[in-house]
Amino acid sequence: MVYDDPFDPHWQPIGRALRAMNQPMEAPPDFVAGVMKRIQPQTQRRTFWQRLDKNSKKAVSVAAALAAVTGSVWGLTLQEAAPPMVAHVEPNTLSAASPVAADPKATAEPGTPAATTPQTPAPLVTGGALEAKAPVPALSPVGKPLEPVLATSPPTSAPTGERALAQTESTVPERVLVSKQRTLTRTSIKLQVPSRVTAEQALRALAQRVGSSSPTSVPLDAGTAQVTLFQLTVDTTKADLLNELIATVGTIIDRQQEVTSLTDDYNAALAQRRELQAQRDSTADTAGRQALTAQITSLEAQLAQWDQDASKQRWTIWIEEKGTP
Amino acid sequence: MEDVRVLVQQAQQGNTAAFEQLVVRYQHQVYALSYSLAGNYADAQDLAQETFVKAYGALGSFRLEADFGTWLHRIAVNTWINMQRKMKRTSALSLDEPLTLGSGEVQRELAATAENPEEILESKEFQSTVRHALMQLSEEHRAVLVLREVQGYSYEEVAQILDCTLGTVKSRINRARQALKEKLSAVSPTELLRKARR
Repeated sequence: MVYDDPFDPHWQPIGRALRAMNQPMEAPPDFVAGVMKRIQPQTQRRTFWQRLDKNSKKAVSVAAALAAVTGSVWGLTLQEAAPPMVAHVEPNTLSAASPVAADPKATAEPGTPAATTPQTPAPLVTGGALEAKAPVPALSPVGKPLEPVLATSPPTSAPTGERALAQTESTVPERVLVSKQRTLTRTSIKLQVPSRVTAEQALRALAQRVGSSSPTSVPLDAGTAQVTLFQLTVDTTKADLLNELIATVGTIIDRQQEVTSLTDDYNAALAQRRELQAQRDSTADTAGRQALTAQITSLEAQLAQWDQDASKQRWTIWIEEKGTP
Repeated sequence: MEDVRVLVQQAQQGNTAAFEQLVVRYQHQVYALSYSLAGNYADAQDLAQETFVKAYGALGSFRLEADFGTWLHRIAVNTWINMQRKMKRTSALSLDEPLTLGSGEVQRELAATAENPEEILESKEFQSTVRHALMQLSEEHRAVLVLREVQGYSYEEVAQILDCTLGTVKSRINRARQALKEKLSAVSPTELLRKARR
């Protein structure tokens, strides 16, 4: 194939005409001012996250993920000998209609003026019933306390302030409900069994029964003991069933549960998303909007991941054979 | 080139004054390319501005070993292709539209090699025909012809700007030329040969 034939008699005049188009041109006199005018708002609004380039963002994300994984593994390994520490997040059923009263004994302590007695702040109302009935409460800006939502407030009342803003977003997915507590639950169990191989097989069958699709197992050399670390993720609703079934595989000699709240991180990310959305809505230029949309999408993915994580529990089962010291 | 490098580094650190100097320096170049692609002054101005705004947003990813002007051209071409794909609008070209300069508006004059007034007129007509045909090409074909034939970039530079291989550029240019020739098929081969001899 001839790619460039300057002697092609048909092309020569066309090529000349094309080259003649390359004349010196001057941009309009207000061109630079126009560009700078569009850049200035970007400069003022660029957040720390926006100033990072793609590689830095990746690095920060990877570092955060590594820190989470490392912390989890070390926690499991180093706290093996520690006494069981069970921490449950109890659903908060208090409402503003029944505020927490200060302990009368505390206020009656001699020498302690009543006015300076610390008052427990009324916590946020949580629970599925509220989420189903009440209007969706909006997230307060970062650093500001969330506005308590009354369980008794009528759902048809005129929306004001941030609540009104939330109501205008008809397409906002359910996960934006900030009153919902999101927790990451990790359970570790030390299981003593007659045979590690048999126990592992039994656990795999059990994992399948509770709907855990990809359990993993790792043989470990823990000093004098030969153990197997079996990990699976299970839906929160199946956690109790799993607990019962594990007891049929061997003897549970230790059990720890670690509950980490994702709520603050979730709400902060949600606030950032709302801020970016507001920025995007007020931005006229296509490039800026695209960049903001990309960041919003990224945050959405993170929020979705947290939602997913909060709906599941991670179980680590330390399997050791009987007779192991 | 060294001062451009310094300006880019300063702009990367958030110095908008440095970026403004870069805009001043490259505005005409980017504007000319934008005009070749867009075919009219209004779209050319939009495209050129969008190019600089995007460049500012992507300054962090610019590596100093590349040529800043070429990088801007790359952004301009990609922006224009994306805009075309999104809008799918046909751009109209008015050959009578005056050229806006700092000192006012002037009629656009095309360079002519012929001395004879009749030939000059013929040449101008032919150039306007070619320009019109160019505007009817697909985005890819128009972009590659503008970069290679109008802007005079080498194949390697075109490949760099379009982010594709040298072979792709060569075959695309070849196809673009064929497409342009087909668009100009209304002009008789005899006429083309007559112009070629000139």
